Amino acid sequence: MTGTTTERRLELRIAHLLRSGTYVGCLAIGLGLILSWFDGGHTARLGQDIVAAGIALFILLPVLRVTLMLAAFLKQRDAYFAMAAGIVLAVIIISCAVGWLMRP
Amino acid sequence: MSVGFELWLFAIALGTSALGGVLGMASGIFIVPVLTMFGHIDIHTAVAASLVSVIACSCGSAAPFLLGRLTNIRLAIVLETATTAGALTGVLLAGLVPVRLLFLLFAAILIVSGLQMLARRREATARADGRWARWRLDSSYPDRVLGREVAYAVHRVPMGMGLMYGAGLISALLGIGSGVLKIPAMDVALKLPIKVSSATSNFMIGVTAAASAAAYFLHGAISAPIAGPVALGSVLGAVLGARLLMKVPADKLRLMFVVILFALAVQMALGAFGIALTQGGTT
Repeated sequence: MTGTTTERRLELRIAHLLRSGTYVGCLAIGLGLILSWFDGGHTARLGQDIVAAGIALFILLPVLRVTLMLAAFLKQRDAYFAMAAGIVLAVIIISCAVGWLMRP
Repeated sequence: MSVGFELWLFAIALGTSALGGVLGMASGIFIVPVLTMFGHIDIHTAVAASLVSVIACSCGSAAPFLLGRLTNIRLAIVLETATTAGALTGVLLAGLVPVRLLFLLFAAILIVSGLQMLARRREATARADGRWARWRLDSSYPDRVLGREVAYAVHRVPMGMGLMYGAGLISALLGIGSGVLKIPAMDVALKLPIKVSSATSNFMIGVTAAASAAAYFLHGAISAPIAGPVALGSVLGAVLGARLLMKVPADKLRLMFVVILFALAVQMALGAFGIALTQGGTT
């Protein structure tokens, strides 16, 4: 059953991605917050940027996960599920465009 | 933003998330009421911050479910087309819905969540009707209690998709994971085993929230000094809660949880009319 083992491999890769991404994101936010508590311009500003990067990473993680699934389904020539993953990515991109265009 | 306020945000997120974790439910629903009513933070900023923590908790807790083969990733990606479409609709509506209505909607969701917690979830009796078989959404999972592989079939996919669209919409508007709508969608419409439905729902929450959070991020609506401590506290709290899971009597805690949900609902409803009961928090 090659079908189930490739599926299993995909599940494990996703688990690994989400787990390590969570570690990095948490570390970035924690470190950034501590730096941002230093008084005075430079260090504090760097800290805030690191916090923002950690937040951006968390938002990006699920998107990366969908991309991983899209690639896997394309490789398996699984049209149904590749299409579903493609639609999800497209909706997220449209949502990004909406947010960017409506910025104050 | 003061250090004290950030620590307060972190502590609140840690506490509520641990409490939610003990009951095996997401605590995203507490964050917006607490930030708005006690922290006096604008509701749109609170929603955006809450979404980041909802994503973080979904990502942080996904691995064990995936390793235990409880998450149905094929079903998830299909349902996510509906949840993200709902989230996009929510993003478009966010600026148009009056703040008052957001508060009222939130109060309603809190009450429905409370009622849902009181009514125990019942295991759906899954019997394959074969209608959705060609979609290859059916699967099986290893049940530890039974000690064997349990096969299950997916039912009423269109109805499930409809409810998921609603869940995505509510998630984007209110900054929650929308378990309130996902649980009936999974249990009643799709008739999934509870373990599979919890794992798959948790998996989907991240993408759903990311669809709206990405828009809010690019819009500049996410305040890092608020969203950062809340996300970090939530992830750590969820880990803590899962550890405590076995040691606390769940029934008393469940009741306490429901009481808190109802109390917050009253506050949010009053908040809709500009009546604040609390003077707490530091701004």
